[in-house]
Amino acid sequence: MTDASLGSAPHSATAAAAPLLRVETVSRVFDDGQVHALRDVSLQVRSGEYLAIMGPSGSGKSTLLNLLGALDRPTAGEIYVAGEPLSKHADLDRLRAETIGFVFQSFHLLPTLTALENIQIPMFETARSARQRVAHARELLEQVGLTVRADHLPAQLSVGERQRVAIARALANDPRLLLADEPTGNLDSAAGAGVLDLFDRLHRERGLTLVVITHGAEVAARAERTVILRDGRLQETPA
Amino acid sequence: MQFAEVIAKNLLHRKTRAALTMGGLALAVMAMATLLSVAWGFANSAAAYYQARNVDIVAVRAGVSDRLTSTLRFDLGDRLKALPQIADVDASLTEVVSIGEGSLFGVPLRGLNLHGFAVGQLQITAGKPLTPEEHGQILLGVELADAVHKQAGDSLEVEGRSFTVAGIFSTTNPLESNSLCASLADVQSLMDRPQEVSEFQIRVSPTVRSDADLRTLCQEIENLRGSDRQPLGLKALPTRQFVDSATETKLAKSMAWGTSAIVLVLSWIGMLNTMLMSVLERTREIGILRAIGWKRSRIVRMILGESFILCFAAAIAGLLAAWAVLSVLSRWSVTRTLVSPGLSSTAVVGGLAIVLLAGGLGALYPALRGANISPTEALRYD
Repeated sequence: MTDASLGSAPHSATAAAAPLLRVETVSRVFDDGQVHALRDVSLQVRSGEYLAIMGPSGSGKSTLLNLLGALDRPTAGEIYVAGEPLSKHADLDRLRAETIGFVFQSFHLLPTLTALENIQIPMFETARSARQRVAHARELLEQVGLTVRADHLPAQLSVGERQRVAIARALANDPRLLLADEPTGNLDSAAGAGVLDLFDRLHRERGLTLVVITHGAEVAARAERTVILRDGRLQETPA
Repeated sequence: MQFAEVIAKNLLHRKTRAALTMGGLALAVMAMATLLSVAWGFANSAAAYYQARNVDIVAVRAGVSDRLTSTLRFDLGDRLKALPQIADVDASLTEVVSIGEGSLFGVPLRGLNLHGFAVGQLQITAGKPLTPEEHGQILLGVELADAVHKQAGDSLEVEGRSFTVAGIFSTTNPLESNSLCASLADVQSLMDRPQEVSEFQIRVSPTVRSDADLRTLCQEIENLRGSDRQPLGLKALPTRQFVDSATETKLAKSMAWGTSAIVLVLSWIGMLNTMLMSVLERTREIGILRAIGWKRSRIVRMILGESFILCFAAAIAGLLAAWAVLSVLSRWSVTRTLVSPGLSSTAVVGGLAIVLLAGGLGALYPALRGANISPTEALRYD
C-alpha cells in the first residue's frame, strides 16, 4: 500500500456533526406490490461516519444502497442527502457525479480502458480539461498504490488491483460519500484487507463518509457503526 | 483522455463486428457512388459536348421519348436559320451502333454535317478530316481507336458495312472519346434514314442575352409552322435542360437515386442491428456509466459517435472503392463508352450524406434505449 496522502483534507467539524444522509420511513416495493424489499426503514449517517450495513441475502441491503446512491427511488418515504430531499432534486446524475462514489463487488471497470483511463471516466461530467483529468487520475492512482499499473487494462490487473482502481475511480470527483457494495466479496483475504486498509485511510485522512454493505463480520468490524437489515427492516443498531 | 478516445476504443474492442458493419456499409456506398457517378458523368459529358461547340439550344422532334434517335427533316434547318435571333444552325444524326463484327456494342455514331460548325471542332491527331468528296470514311475517338486497335487507314466494320478509318480525333470528353463520326450522308445511308437528322444544334445571336430570352426563343422555335399552317413539331430546349431532360439521363439518374434509396434503407437496418446488439451487450457497462454520473445525453452522444465513426470510415472506404471501380469500368470495352473515370461531386456528397443519415437514424433508437438503461437493472444484468 502506498504512503501517499489520500488527497483532500477532512471535512470541517461542523460538517462532520451534521447528518449527510437521512432516511425517513422508506419503503421499496417491486413487482406491483408482490415484493417488499424495504419496509419503513429510517436511518441517519453523519458526515464523516463509517457505517456498515449487514444482513443475509435478500434482506434488502443492495436495495437500500441503490436508494442511498440515488440510483433508485423509494416507493414511500424520503431520503435526504446533505439536507436536500432526493425526490425534489433536479439533477440526480449531477448529484451522483459530484457527491457520491460507488465501489462494486465486481469492480465494473470498463474493459477497453486502462487503469488511468478508467479513473477519468467520472470526470467527463466535470469542468476539468483533458490534461487536468489525466493529472488527477495519476494522483489517485498514486494514492491507491498503482502508479506502475497506469497503462494496464483491467484484464492485466489482479482482482485486488482492480478493486483499488475502482476505488480511485469512485474518488475521481472528490465525493463526500462513498458507497461500497460487498467491496471485498471477490477478493482473497490479503487483497480484501488491503482494500479495508484503504477505506480506513480514506475515512481517517479525508473524513470521507463511508457506507459499506457486507456479509463479513471482519469488514463490519472496521466500521464505526453497524446496522443489520433483515426482511427489509432495520432490526438493530449495535453500538 | 478525450471523449472521442472512449468512443474509438469501444469500436476497437469489437473489431470483427465493426469491420463487418463497416464493410457492408462501404459496399453499399460503393454501389451508390458508382451509379451516381455513371449517371452524372453521362449527363456532364453530354453537356460538355454541346458547350465545347458553343451550342445554346438543341432542337429535336417534339413528343419523342428517345431524343437520340429523334427524326427531323434536314431542311428544317433552313427555317431555323431564318430566325433573326439565331446565329448558326448545325444538324447531326446520332445512332447507337455495334462495331468490329459485333465485338463492341452501344457505340455512339454521329453523322456530321460536313458544312456545319460542329465538324470543325474535332481535333484530328492522326490521319485526315472527313471531306464531302470521299464516302465510306470514318473518324474514331482516341479511346475507341485504342479499344478496337485501329489507326488511320485501317478498315472498320460498322453495322455490317465496311468503313475506312480516315483519322483519329482527340477530346477530353469521355463520351465523345469513345464515339465515332462519319458524314451525315453516310450515316443516313447506313441507317436507311435519307434526309433525316436527329437534332439541330443552335447558336444564338448576341441579342439573346438572358435565360428568359433563351426560353422565349425556344418557344418561338416550337411555334414554327409549315406552309400548310401545321406545326413543324420541334421541341427546343437550352442545352443543359436538354441534357438533363433526356430520357437516358433521367433513367440513369432515377436508377441511381432508386439504388441510393435502397442503400439508405439497408444501411439503416444494418446500423440499427449493429448498434442495438452493441447496446444490449453493454447493458451493464452503460448502467455503470449512468451510476457514476454520466448523463443520458452523454450516453446518446457516445453511441451516436460510434455510429458516425463507423459510417464515416465506411463512406471513405466506399468512395475509394467506387473510384477504383469507375477506373476499371472506364477502361473495360463493354462499359467504356458509358462510364467516365472519377467520382462526380454528386456521388461524393450523396454517398457521405446518405450513409451518415442512415447511420444517424439507425443508431438513434439504440442510443435512446441505451440512455434509458436503469443503473439498478443494469447492475443486476449479466
